[in-house]
Amino acid sequence: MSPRKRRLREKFASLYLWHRYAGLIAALLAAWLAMTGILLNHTDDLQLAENFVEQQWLLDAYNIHAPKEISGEPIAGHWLTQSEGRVYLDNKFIAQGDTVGGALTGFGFVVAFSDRLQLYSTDAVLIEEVPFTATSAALTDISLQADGVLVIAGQEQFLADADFLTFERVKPRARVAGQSLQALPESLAPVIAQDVLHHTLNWERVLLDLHAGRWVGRAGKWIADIAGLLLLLLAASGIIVWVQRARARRRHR
Amino acid sequence: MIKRTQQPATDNGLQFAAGLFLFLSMPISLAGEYLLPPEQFLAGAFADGAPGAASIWLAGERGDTVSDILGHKPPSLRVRYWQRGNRTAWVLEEIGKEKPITAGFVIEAGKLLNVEVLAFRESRGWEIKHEFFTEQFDAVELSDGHELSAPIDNITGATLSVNAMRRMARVALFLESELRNVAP
Repeated sequence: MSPRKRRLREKFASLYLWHRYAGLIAALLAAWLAMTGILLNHTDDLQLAENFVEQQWLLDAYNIHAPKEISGEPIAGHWLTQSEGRVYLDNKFIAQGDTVGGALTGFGFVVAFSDRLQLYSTDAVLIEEVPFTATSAALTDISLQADGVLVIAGQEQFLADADFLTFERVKPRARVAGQSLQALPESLAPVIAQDVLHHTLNWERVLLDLHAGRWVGRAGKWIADIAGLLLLLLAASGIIVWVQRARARRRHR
Repeated sequence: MIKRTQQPATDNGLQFAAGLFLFLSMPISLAGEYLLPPEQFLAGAFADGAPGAASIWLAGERGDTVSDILGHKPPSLRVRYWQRGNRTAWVLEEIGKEKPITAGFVIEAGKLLNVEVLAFRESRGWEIKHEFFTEQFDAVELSDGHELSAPIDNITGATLSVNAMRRMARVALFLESELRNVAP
């Protein structure tokens, strides 16, 4: 074997050398994982899940766009709108969920969900959330009648008193058809669309994707795996090199 | 030389029993919503079943006082209660650490008769559901500054839940006093 080949062979037989090379490659990846990991460890303190991305370039990268068509239910000159799980009274966000409809009341509005009613003042301040327990069936509709607000749960119908403190089971009646959904006025639709857009992607999701390497597509997953394996290799080779050197120092004493 | 001794079988058995007790006493609400449904709580609060509900509005000075007690704006403008004679029952919610705790309060003539944790949704602090904690509220009333007239001992590891219960008790007693003040 030539001297050069022998030197190369000795060089690459050195675990310490592999430890150095692996360290160089892994350093950047490790720093990346560490930074994103530390931030994710403090998700609650930083309120990452409650803070949403508004930067358009980042939303574009996720292919997230404002809803194009939003329709709402007109209620006495106001609008009850639902889009992407967010419910609005006029331009004010009021609740997360799927509403089954709303109606005008003596003190403002009532908005119905499958298991509860929410009472709002005329300026969309929550008056009370009323769990609907009169029946186990889910609420499916709500309708303003001549004698009060009728809530429909499956095959059953209940008439609410004026204060929404009691619900009286009534014979099913041919209810007045609720307002059908209509396109929002031009002054309202873009406001709601923008608000929905800016509450779609939170910073926790972005950090999780950065941490897992999902940002560079399928290759990102493998890069993250390689980084993890390199770190394991560093840990193992580092311990072995440390033990070897400790033994060498003892021999030379 | 330290002589190792094998742990007696009785100690192992006690440790297992203690672990089993702790596991079994974890709140049922991990599986379902309520430890005690509000309807059941209300039925137990009144001798002949729960009366119809009424409501009290948190407007003006009353709302400001409730905000002071809670340390934040109340989540709603109106609170529901049930009353028969001079006994009232209240079902309130307040956030412990991150999730709401639902609690029921029975008050008679300005004094707490019974306090129950109806729903507990956090993973820690569930010790407050036990009688050894809630019975501290018995006969407690409101003193100056809308504080409780007796100390409520904290539970290590459940401080936020304990504080939430204290705040709700104060709100319930305050609102009950408001009803007495406006009663004809």
